[in-house]
Amino acid sequence: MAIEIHLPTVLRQYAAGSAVVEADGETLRDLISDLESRFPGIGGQLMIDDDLHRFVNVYLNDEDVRYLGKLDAKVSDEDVISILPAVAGG
Amino acid sequence: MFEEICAHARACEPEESCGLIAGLVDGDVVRAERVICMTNAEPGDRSVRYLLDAGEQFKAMRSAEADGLEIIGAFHSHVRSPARPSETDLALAAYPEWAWLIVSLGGSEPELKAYSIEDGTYEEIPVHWP
Repeated sequence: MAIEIHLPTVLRQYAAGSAVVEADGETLRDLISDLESRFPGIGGQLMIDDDLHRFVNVYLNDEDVRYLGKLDAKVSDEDVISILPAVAGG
Repeated sequence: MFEEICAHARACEPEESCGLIAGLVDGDVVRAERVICMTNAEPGDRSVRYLLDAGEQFKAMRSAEADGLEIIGAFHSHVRSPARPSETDLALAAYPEWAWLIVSLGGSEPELKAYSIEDGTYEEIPVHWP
């Protein structure tokens, strides 16, 4: 099934400039793996050591996936994933 | 808005303050419409680091969108250091389309400057206060 994924500006360079892409899978991990197979390099921007990167927030519809099982969060048709880099500095 | 950002910075001392700015983009001109003061959720030393609370960030972005605005920038304070991006600011700035405002409380009066940050480099951008 195809899940809609909204990419922030900083990640669009990996997807030929697209703001919205689709991916297949049953979990967030599957989706990122599918994205990486088609847009090499994007997976490393989202994950580190088999976990979500600390400075990347991922929302499944309106829910933070950190409260839905992180990479094991289940996705289904018509879900929308939004990737929002954290706003941080010093 | 200048006063609002400075007041939040002072209220958060000795920790860094942070927040987002919503507004409108018209060609090369970006007009700020709303300052959104937010929680510094950095788990480490908040006197030298900031991290917007993820839930507040998401809500602020959705709220701006619902009101026909977009997030045009972020602001944070430097409690002692000058109003220019730190190495951490340059490394973590992940929205190249935004203006990054920094207010310094290190002098006798707050100093606020704005920058564009992309690929680890920065450039000061002009700000006109009404």
